[in-house]
Amino acid sequence: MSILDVFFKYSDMFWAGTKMTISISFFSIIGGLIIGIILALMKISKVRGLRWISNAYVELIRGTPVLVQIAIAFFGLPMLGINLPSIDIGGVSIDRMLSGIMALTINTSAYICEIVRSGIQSVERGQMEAARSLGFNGHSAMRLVVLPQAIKNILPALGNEFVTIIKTSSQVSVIGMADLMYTANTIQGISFQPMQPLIIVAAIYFMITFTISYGVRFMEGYMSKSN
Amino acid sequence: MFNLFNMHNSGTTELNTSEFNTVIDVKNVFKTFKKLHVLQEVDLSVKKGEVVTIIGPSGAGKSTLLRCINQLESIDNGDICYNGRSIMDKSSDIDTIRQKIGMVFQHFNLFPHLTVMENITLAPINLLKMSKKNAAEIGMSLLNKVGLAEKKDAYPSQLSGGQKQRIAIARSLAMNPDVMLFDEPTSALDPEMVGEVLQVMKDLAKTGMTMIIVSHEMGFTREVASNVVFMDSGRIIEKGSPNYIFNSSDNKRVRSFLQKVI
Ligand SMILES: Nc1ncnc2c1ncn2[C@@H]1O[C@H](COP(=O)(O)OP(=O)(O)OP(=O)(O)O)[C@@H](O)[C@H]1O
Ligand SMILES: [Mg+2]
Repeated sequence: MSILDVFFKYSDMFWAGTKMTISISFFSIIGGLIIGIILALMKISKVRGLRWISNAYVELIRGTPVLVQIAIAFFGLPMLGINLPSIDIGGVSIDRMLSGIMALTINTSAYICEIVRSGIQSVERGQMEAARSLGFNGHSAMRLVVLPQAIKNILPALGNEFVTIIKTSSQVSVIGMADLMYTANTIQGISFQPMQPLIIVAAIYFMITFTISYGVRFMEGYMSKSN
Repeated sequence: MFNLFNMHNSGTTELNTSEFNTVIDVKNVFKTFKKLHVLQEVDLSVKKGEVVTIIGPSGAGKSTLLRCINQLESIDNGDICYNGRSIMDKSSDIDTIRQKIGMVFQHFNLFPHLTVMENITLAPINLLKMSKKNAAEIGMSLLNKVGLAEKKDAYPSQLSGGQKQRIAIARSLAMNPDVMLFDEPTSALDPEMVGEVLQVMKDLAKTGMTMIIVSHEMGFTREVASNVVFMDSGRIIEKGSPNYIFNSSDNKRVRSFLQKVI
């Protein structure tokens, strides 16, 4: 069987795997952004307790393997008595998907926190001072003056993190989520072709990550109009 | 020449304030950074319409004093009053007070992600709830005063240093402040751009704006200042008219400083 034969014969499965990879990555990125920004604001806050929580969280998550985090989210939570609803929607089991997304969200939020924090701190202190001396309170100064500049600064690093999440998401296949990697394994088994399915999913992963990198670069160009 | 810059409400706010009102009153202020005494026993009162220039060697505490006046730095002891009310008081809202105390920085600190017009109108629109149109009109007339009307849609990165500083002055004036603080507004500029900024400041002084200026521009100080304050090692060593400071004071530190800078 040629590689194209494999692709067309199992195209439905590849398509389903692609959709799964994109949706878990998408929800993890959204969740990671929200939690990451909150963690970053905690990290630069004046309240020592908040800083401590954020620091501990980031160190813990960045210091442990994502595979372990995924396994804990999937096997560990039920043991702690936390049961995610086990329903099937369109052949996708929601509990697996939720624990996968949860693990990836928690993982990426720690990295996004660091990216956002360094972005905020890369904005000169004089910007905050100028805004404050016009009469803006700390929150408005952050929202109107500091964050817009921080976002511009962190866009490249954030794009990298999105790419990383797409790639990291392949690891949720270990808990039986039918993402691209899982699909490759399945097709290897039923087609007795060890190599071709892997090459096909590698190509699909690359197309997704390339699109993201390209999109981020486009955004950068758009936002750099004030340079 | 009157009210060149003061266009929101000429006359109305002045009704209940006498001509001799003290706008800023710094009383016996102490400030330390870690163990370093940066301000000690500092007293400075600035009346409405006065232009006070602060001079002194590097590290004297000039910037710190300015920054304490609008609470960018906190003080350890003493009091600072704005229009007779302590800004340290719990009932004083520092954000509202800062709206009335303009600040111009050595490095301009324009907002790089906003156009010139957006820089000027950001605070009036968001803090005074002014309409965009209204704010833009005020912005336009301020841009005319500083001679940069044609730059309204430029970004700060497209401006020269002198232009940036003139925009920064216009941005502060858009809040119609009672007093303006300048921290070495020309010392980050190429020499050929110093004049245009000083000219804007002279025009502003002529409108009766109360100004506190940290500056090493002695010619400007002689011409414009009503009072000169000399600081060294966190203390105010001498105070007086430009004529007194430059010609009569026999304080050793003042003399040796002036010899170095002139
Ligand atoms: N945030 C800070 N933390 C610690 N020390 C500081 C801080 N800001 C200023 N200082 C110190 O306080 C002293 C006074 O500084 P300040 O900037 O007020 O001096 P200045 O008179 O404005 O000097 P210059 O002419 O160089 O601007 C200096 O010794 C400076 O090193
Ligand atoms: Mg200084």
